[in-house]
Amino acid sequence: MGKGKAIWILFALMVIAQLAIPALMIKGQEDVLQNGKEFKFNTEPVDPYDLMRGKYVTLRFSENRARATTEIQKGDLVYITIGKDDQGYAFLKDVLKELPLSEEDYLELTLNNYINRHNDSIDVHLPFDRFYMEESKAELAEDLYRESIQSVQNESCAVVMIKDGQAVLKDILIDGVPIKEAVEAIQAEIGE
Amino acid sequence: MSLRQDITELLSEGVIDERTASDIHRYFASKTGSRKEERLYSVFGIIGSLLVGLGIILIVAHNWDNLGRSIRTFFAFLPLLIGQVAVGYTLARQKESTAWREGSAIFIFLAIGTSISLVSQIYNIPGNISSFVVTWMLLALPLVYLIPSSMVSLLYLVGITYFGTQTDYLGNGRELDLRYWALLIGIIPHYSSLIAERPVGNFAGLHHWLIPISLTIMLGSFAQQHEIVMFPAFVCLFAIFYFIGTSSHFKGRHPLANAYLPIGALGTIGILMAFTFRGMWKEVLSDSINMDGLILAPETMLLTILLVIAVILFVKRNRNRPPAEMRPLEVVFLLFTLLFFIGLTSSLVVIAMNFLVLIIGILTIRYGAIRDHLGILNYGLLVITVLIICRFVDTDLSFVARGIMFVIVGLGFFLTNYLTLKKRKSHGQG
Repeated sequence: MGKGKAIWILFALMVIAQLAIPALMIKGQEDVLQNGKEFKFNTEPVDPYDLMRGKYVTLRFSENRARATTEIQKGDLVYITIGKDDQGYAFLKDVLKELPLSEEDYLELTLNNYINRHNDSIDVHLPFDRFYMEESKAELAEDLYRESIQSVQNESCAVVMIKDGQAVLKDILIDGVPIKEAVEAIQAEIGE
Repeated sequence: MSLRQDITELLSEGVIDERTASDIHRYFASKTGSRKEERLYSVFGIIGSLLVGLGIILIVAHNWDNLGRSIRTFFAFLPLLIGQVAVGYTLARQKESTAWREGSAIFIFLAIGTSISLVSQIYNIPGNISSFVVTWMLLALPLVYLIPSSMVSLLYLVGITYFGTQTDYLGNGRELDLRYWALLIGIIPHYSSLIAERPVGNFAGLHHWLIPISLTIMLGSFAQQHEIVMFPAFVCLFAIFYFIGTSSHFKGRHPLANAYLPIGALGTIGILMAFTFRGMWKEVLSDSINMDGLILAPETMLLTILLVIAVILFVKRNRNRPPAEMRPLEVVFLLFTLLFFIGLTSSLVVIAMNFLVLIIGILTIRYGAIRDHLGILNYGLLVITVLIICRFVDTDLSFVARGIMFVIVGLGFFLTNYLTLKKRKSHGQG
């Protein structure tokens, strides 16, 4: 095989690899978004800035504690079963080291952070904690968020699609309204 | 210049006439001119490409949430597709042009990062920055050999060094992470080919800087449960750098043509100087040595490997040389390692360390004086000056005593420089 031919073959393989990686990322996410089950997680707010990835709203979840009766260590791959309360919000149930045998919905996670133990429960760092927004909207979104959290009737939540342990953050609702619409309404009011 | 002389000689011997001589002059002048132009074009091509690529990255930071997901996904792939077309065109038609090769390579390098980054934004994908960087680097690595591109090799090196520092650096008892070292192997063949084919080129020079800097930063990642072993390990690494920096490959070139020599020399003196302080020994010994697993610890294995390499280089360098020719920095790694481990049990070693630095300074001055090299001579004086300043800070001498010592060292500077210059002048006249 001539050197020229080898170069073109290497080029073709490189192109396929470079297109395949983002494509596989997309395929996985789209599958969960289209075919997953919807859960609403109650949230609390924060906000940093990631230059490489655009501005995002960082979420903290009020229901992030799960029962862990077995020995759990940092770095372990675990399966956390999820339930829904009377108001339809999701909560974490048990931390398991193997796939749940029942038909229960679950999240598959690697516990990368320090394990904060409270008797027979641990705090879990939920992975869907970033919601990307256009720069001009992110800060306003953050303010809306905080106001909503501090009000008595806190109905801010993250809408998450879950399928086979994989989760995709779909939206944030501020008092039932998608955050993007809530921010656009405010922007329209102040004439931005 | 020699061409001009040759033409003059041929003209005077009647081998060529005036017209032929001026034709030859004109031909070579245009060639040099067009070579310079092409180099300028290459530089501007590279800068332009970097700016365009970075501009696109900044646009990435501005989310496009008004567009539907599929349109945003299309835009996510667009820079990558453009980059791939540019690389394809370069391979087909512009292989000889450095501007096209490096320009298209840098563009697609930045486009890969942009694509992954945009897709992560569009789908709110969590994931740490280090996995993002390593995926990016691995997808970009083929460009180094395909095009080939030395700029991507340098960017790759920066990327993997960043990745390396984000993983379990200065470990917390977790397992040693060797991924950076595995990734580094990716550009070694390219580095070797640069040294073999274009040893005095700019790209080789840039690699000669970035690689030792990256290695120096990443050596620290071996520190796990037995961090103190890293001190002699670093001194051995700096000795290896020193041997590389003073090898025949770099002979006759500017000392700053590579980072091996400055890092090797300054790094060694820096660590030695730190260990001339009693306080440093106290600090090191305050964490009592963890003998548990010391023999098989990664730090010990690393020290062993580096020591063996340094000894091999030392033997190769000094095998056929008289002992008088031996440079102090070529042997100090052995002395330091020995003193270091003795020092863990005896506090008198700090005195020996001070003498070691003093001797290095004196021998360097002597070497500079013999070779008539003011730079080396003054470097030796600087080592001694820094040592004295350190002792001033460290001890309780009176101001008068310190003043006298400063005057002595200052006079030493003047005298040695004066005598060397005088010797030069008298040789010139003689």
